[in-house]
Amino acid sequence: MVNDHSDRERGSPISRRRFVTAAGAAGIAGLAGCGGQQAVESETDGTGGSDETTDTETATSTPVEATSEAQRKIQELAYITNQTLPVLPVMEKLAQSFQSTDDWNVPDAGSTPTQLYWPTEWLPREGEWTAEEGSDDERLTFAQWAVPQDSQYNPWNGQNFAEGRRMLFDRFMKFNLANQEYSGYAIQDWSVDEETVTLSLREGMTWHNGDDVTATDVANQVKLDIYNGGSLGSFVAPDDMGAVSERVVATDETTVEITLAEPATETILLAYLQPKYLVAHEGTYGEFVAALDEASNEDERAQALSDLTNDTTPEPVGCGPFQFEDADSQRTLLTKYEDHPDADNMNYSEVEYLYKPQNQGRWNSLINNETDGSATLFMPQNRLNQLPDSMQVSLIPRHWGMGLVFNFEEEPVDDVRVRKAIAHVVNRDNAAQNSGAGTESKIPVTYPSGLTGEFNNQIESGWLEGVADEFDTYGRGETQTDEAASLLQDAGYERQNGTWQRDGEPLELPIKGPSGFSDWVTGVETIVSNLQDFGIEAESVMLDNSTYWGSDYANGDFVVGLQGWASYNQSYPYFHYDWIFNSWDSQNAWNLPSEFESPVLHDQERDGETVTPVDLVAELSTANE
Amino acid sequence: MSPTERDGAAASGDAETNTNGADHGVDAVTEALTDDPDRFADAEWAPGGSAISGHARNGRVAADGGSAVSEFQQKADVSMTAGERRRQWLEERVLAPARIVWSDWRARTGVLVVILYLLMATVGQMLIAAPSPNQGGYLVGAFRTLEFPLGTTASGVSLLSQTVYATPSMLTMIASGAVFTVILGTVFGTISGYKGGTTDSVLMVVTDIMMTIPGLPLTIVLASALQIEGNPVVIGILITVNAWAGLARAIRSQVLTLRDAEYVEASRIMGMGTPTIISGDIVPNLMPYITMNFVQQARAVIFGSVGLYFLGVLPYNSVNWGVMMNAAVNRAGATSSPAAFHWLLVPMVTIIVLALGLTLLAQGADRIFNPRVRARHADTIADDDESSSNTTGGI
Repeated sequence: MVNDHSDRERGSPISRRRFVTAAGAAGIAGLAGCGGQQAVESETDGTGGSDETTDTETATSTPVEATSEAQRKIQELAYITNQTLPVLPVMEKLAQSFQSTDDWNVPDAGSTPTQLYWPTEWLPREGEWTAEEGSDDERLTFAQWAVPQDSQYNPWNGQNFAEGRRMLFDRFMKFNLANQEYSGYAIQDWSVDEETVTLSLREGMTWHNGDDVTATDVANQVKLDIYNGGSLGSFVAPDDMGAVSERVVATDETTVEITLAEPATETILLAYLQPKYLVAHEGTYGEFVAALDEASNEDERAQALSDLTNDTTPEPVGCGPFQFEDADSQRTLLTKYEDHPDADNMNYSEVEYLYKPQNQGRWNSLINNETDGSATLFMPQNRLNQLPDSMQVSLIPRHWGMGLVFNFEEEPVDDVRVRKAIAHVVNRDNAAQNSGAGTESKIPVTYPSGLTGEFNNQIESGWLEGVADEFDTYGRGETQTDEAASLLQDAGYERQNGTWQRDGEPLELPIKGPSGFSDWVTGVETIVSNLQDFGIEAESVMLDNSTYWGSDYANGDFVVGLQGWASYNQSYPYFHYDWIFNSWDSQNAWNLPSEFESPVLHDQERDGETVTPVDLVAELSTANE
Repeated sequence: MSPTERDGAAASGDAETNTNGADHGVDAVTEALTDDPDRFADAEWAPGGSAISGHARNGRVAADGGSAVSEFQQKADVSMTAGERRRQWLEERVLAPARIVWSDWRARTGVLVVILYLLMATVGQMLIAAPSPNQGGYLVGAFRTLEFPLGTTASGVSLLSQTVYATPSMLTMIASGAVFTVILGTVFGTISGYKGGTTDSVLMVVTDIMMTIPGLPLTIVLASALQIEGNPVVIGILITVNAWAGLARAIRSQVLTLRDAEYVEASRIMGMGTPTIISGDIVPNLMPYITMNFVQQARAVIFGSVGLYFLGVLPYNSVNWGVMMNAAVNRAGATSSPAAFHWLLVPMVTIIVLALGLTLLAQGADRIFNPRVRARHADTIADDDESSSNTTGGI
């Protein structure tokens, strides 16, 4: 499926990168003009959009029994990451979410209902975002990155994410950040039993053309996602795509059965299933499903898949609470679909998405009350100060953030001692603070270990309960020069005239990054300044976004690069370690070796210091919780 | 050739004006033609101010009449020592232009501005601490504190320090772009104009092709395709990658009017090589035009680079005025945020002042190279000198 970032990376990273490159001059200007977070988001816009949607309901860490097998493996992987630093996690991100209280009833900022990753999508459905009585505002207004009339409603066509999809289609499930529980939505109920996943469809759903929503549509959705390289494929049909049509079956009008190749952890399966939008209307996508099901070999399948990914649906048939009305160059207009089961929760008749391709435009729209809210946006403090009192801001955890990635085929960072020295020198507090531009939206990472959940202390007292003392913090808010110096001396460097050298060659550290991610650039300025003060000849080389992602980063043409250090879409640690050790990026761009030398945390998990993290990640996917 | 002679050749393009300025009334064209260091000796008999028309050599023969002594055998009445020559060179080449510049407020301002930026790039770095995050508070306004006179960015970097530390790479970029354009344009233009024929056709085809390529998109594509990583010299060249073509065209047409001039033809007849003629006879005549273009290109590089940095399409590895503006707008929305406006304004004013300085300098350069103006100033020098020393005046 398109939804999983890390998996798609592994599958066909180039096509994704290519897209960014192919965005061309207009895209360049567009992306470059974006401020940090927005650039992050808009970059994913181009890649299929569902990226953003998936992390919609990221979990805070689930409290797990410290003794469970899964937790032990997670701790072991965290320890390996902490001791070998394949990446250096610098900060975790909180997304700012905006809701207007002018004419609208919305939950208080920071209250539980707002703790959904995409509040503009869920709050209206749940009846939490309604027009105030007496208000004549019949229309809820948001913004979108892509040109409305060029936006894509076919989720497998990875271009120009149409913001309207969020209201046009229903998701499979809801995920509550507060109690980390899944609850039904389009899929009302489900069960995971050894090798079978059973999904039951919500009753009373219809497509906007009047067709009933059936289990066939759900099966179509799951199948097309798998055919398109989605992560579920590795659980359903790891070796043979030809088996998918037999393993994902609609057994009756409302039930879908998915047969797994081997038992898998429910947490991971649900994490993949939950964020899916139900788009695969049999009348629209049935032919593609049939072609893929009937394909007898790889070539036919590839052909059928390319037909699907090149398809455009200018007038989408949705199943959500709002239906497509029209889209021009400036806005997308949706009107209420009265037959939706939740239609009564919304007392307004229209939703519109204005074309706002740049952060500054969105900031101004919120300040001028032109838009009624924004799901996630980065806004610096000086602009926040300009917001009207009626606009409230909540912070939503993101389980993701900027990190340094190292190219293991380049000196000097192929040496773990140099990587550790860098970690000691970098002041992550300062980097995060500067990156946040005066807001509290960036949190420094305390334990560089690949675990997320810094914002509510879920790492120390959750995932790492009992073993946190074993982990090295590398000095979160200080520059630990003594530790760094002894590591570098150990690696054969000497400090002469204030510069670290080995055999007369100075220790140089070029850090490449995308210039359009301006919050990252600010963070890197701080990092470079720390390193230079310590005597390492660091410099930041900022490239045009498409050049960086499409060429330098993808080709592994960097010594130190910038990249998100966690899985973009999920919060469960499995996904982060899958990203760090097993993704296309880690193997092709960072050139990670398959084996690492790391001290042992849990004897049960491995013997000897040599470890193959990928194997541990695979074990984690089926480990008992 | 001695400086004196060269100058004669250079000025001869404006023979009329120079005739008036020359004490001895020797036609500049004649001087150039004779190529004779002792030509002042001819002053008594030379036909004062006569215009020579038609073929130069014929004209000279007619003027010589029945003189028994060939010009080639004549000797100077006055001889100059090496020291005197040096001093004369200094007068002509440095002091006279300097006085012209100083006498004109536009040129004076332009020069002062450029010197100011050069100082910023050199001495400034020694006086002001390097920019680094958290030097001061976040978004301190301009002119609020003595410590950060121009304010700070959203990550607490001093804007003054950023501005100053961006200067060397900006000046390098500007210089490299301008030098690249001027050299390539001049080489293509002069060779093609002087040689003519196939050479001309080939060079002009190349030039025309370069001219038809839209420069900015080409720069953007090259910037992302090449591994330049923010090297200012390369970026300067990239920005002007096809700007030289227009200059080459213009210079070629100028050269076409010069190539048949008498003194050029004389050099040709004397068997001088093409490079010598181009560098000795043709280019000096074009210097005003070339210099004007150098300054114009310098301005174009500033605007081009700042624009592209602002859009974020050029790679960079150090602080830079365009990047500062980009950061101000993208990180702080400076265009509509009073709290961050100084962040945008400081680099903008820096750029405007430098561009203004260069424009004024270009206008001043026009005066320096305008022989009429220079001659007047050179006269002044000569008059002063004659009273105190015995140096030959007259140039």
